[in-house]
Amino acid sequence: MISKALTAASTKPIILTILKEGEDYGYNIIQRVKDLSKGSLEWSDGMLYPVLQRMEKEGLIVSRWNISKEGRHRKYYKITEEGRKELETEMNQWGDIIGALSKLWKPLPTAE
Amino acid sequence: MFDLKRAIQEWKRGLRRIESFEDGYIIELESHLLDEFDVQKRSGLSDEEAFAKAAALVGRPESIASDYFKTNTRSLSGRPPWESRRFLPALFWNYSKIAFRKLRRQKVYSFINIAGLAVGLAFFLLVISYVRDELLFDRFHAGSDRIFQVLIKIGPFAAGTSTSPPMAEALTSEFPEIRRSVRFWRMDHAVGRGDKILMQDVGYADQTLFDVFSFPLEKGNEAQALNSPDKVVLGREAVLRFFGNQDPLGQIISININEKKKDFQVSGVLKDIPRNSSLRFELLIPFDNVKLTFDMAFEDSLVTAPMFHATFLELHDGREDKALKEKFQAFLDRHYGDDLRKYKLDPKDSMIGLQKFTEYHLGDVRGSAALEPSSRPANSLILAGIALLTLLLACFNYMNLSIGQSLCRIKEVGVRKTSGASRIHIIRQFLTESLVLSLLALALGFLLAAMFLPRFNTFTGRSLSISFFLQGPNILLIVVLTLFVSLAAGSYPALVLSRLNPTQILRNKAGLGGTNILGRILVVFQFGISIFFVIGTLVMIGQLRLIETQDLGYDPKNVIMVPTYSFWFGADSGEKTLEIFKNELRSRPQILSVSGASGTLNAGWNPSWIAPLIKDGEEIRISLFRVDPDFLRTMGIVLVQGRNFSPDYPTDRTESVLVNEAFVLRFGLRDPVGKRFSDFAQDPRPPGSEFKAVIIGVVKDYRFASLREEIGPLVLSCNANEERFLYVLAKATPEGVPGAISLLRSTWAKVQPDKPFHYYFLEDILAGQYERERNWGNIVGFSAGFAVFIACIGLFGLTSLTIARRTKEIGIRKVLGSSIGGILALVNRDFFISIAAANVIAWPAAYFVMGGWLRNFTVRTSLGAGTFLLAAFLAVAVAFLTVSFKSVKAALDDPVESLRYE
Repeated sequence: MISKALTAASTKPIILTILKEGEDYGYNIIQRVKDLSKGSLEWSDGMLYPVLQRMEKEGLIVSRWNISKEGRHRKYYKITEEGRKELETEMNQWGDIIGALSKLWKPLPTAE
Repeated sequence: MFDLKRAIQEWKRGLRRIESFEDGYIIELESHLLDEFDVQKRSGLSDEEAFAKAAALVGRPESIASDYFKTNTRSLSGRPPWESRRFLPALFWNYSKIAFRKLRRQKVYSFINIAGLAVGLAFFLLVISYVRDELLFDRFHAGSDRIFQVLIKIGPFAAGTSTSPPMAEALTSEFPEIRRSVRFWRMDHAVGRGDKILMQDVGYADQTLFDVFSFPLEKGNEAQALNSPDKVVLGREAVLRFFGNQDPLGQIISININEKKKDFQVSGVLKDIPRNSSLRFELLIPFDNVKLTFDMAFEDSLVTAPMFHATFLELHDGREDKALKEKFQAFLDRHYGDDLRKYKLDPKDSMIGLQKFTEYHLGDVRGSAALEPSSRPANSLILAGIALLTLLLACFNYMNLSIGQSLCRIKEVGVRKTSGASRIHIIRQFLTESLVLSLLALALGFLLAAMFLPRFNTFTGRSLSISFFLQGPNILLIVVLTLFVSLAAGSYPALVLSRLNPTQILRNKAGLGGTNILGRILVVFQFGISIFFVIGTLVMIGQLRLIETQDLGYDPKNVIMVPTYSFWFGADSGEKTLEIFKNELRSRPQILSVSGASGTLNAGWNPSWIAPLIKDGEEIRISLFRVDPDFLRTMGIVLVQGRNFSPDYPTDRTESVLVNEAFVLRFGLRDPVGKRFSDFAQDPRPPGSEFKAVIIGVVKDYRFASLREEIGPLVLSCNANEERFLYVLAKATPEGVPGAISLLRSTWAKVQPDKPFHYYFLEDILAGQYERERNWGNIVGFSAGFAVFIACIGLFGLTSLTIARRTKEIGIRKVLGSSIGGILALVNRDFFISIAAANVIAWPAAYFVMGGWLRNFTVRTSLGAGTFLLAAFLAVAVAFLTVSFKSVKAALDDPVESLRYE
């Protein structure tokens, strides 16, 4: 299980990456995250929405309401230009960290 | 049948209750829930199961709302208002608010309650500071774990810390376990600079003092401060006295050693010595100067050199184990064995050992003139006991009042419970209130302790400072104690009241029994402790009065003592001084007679030289004073047999002695006058130094030592070889005292121009010796006052509550014709039963404890029934006044009013 602090830190880049591929709504985003992390990132589903709300306030994403074919109100989120820049910074930072860690951990036997 | 629509409505209503959910958020979450529901449904679950699963996956509404709140709020903590503060129970502020309202509404109760506990805590705080100070004595030296003091016990004498100068060298060279040694001694000397001459406490120490102990210098170099015999280190006070604001380093100061002035160069200024140090001095000179002081080279062996100073050893590993003990015993046998056997002493009875220096202050080895006197651990214990009792008293009182008060709050509990408070809420409320009150008391207690600190310091002769309270362990202890008290006081009402059924309370059916058993028991204890203290105070007052009016066997009135500073060695200046004083003052009308003596009469200890005599194989210790022929006249001591010393008999200066009646009795002498000591006793001292004494007269027993001691065998001698005159005693006429003092002063200037003049009144010294008893009397008296005060407060509170609860009963009784006296009897009866019970507890305890205290004295006041009855009477009178204060009013009140009550 991934720690709470790490989960919190990685939420933003994950959401931004998913939204970079195209507009999407909350439920789908959650499912994508769950699929990607094979369940090791533990989110209670509802916790995503306050995060989306904050990111929207920060101007990283924008949203619009839509009605689905089942007649449900859905809020679709889309990445903004600022969001892309933010994602780039995040990617660089994470890249640095991953690079550093993989250098450090090279001598260790791999998981296989 | 599960209704999905209703379940969703219900779920949404749950969300709406929380204010940070806006409509948009709810719609979004609902759509999420439905999506999830569809997925779960497809996996084959029923509607109900699918809904439950989906709702669980969405998560707890509170957590989601809390995250939304954090996103939208600007508050720093990000804590939503519906969540409780971290570390504090929910509703804490509400409870505190109610506690403060209660305080405001019931000012008197609250004041009594808080003030009582505060005084108890303050007293306790003072005492634990004192006890801690005692325990930390001499621990400020960095290496205090490794510092030991050499103890010597020779033959039948008690172990002491006085060693001879060659000892340190002998030990360090023979024991590899010893790292370093320090020799230390001190003595008063006349110290002068220019025309300023003052008596100062001069320490003699090896240079290693600065390595072994932590006495840092403010100015100068520690490594060279005492490395040549004419260097001196000054304390800050001494610098101020002799140099004012000048820089003393390199300056010269002269010390009168053995009637010769010697110049010393100031090599350092010492930082203030901590007050809890057994090693004290105003000036410090190199140890080698003792050769001048004694006019001896100390080149003789370890054994024959005089033993007078303390020797400290720093061990490598700070442990005195069994092997080391055995090595010390072997050392003793090697060096002292032959001599001991020569005096027919078994070396096994003798011992050289070590005592941890930090254990000296509270230990039982006494009598080292080099060190400050050690303390009696019993003092700390007694003081701690008294403080604990008063604190207990304050706590009882606090609990008693809180419990009593809470009984009046049944209705409040009923209303709270009806409005939805659970039992836990009620318990928390009472405990919080109790906590708030006791924290207030604690704050007040600190304040009071700080206020009383100066007085407490004069009581105990300490200089504790406020910062002492604030040291970690003290604070911790006090806080834990306060929490405990608040828990104890709050838990009874909390647990009992919270259990009651609200409907019954509100229909007036639930009440607590009319007899408040716990409260009554507490009152018994309070009065028990009070009576105990009152008896203690009465006994102490009686004893002090007895001591002060005791016939001492001599007349101390208008006797002025002038110390000659001739000490017990060196040139015979005491002799010459007395001679000149006698000639100068002989024909003065203000002065009746002048005499000399080797010791003050009783300064709380026996200042005489103690010599042993052996009779029938038993050692009898004799007090010996050097006097002159005018001593009996000056002091008003009665001669009962034989004659006084006289200049007409030359043998009076060599072998004649006067003895007291106790001496005659102790040695069973039938016809003492004319007897030689060798006729009836053996002198164990080596040949040449034994008593060669002939008894020429017997004096009536007089108190030459404190009243704590029996009057022992006494010898007065005129022999110049035995002792020196340390004091000139002058008896003045009642109206001639001021004139006599100025005469003494002008004579002193002729005799001893390079020593300062001091004088004392014998009566003052006598009064001073019971200072300790007087201080204890004060402390116990103060505690008694406090205890009585607290007990009365408790009783007052309890009476008011009883009366409040019995208002109706009193009204009905009055309507039915009961008299005021009858009502008073009804209300007061219970309390007098309590006080009777309190006496039963207090009397035996007081009898036991005060009896033990009185055994310290040879002259004792009686522990008569009168004292006990007086204490009981006082308790009853005070209780009666207290109770009547309320009960008379209740009895006089118009019954119509009281029946309308509620």
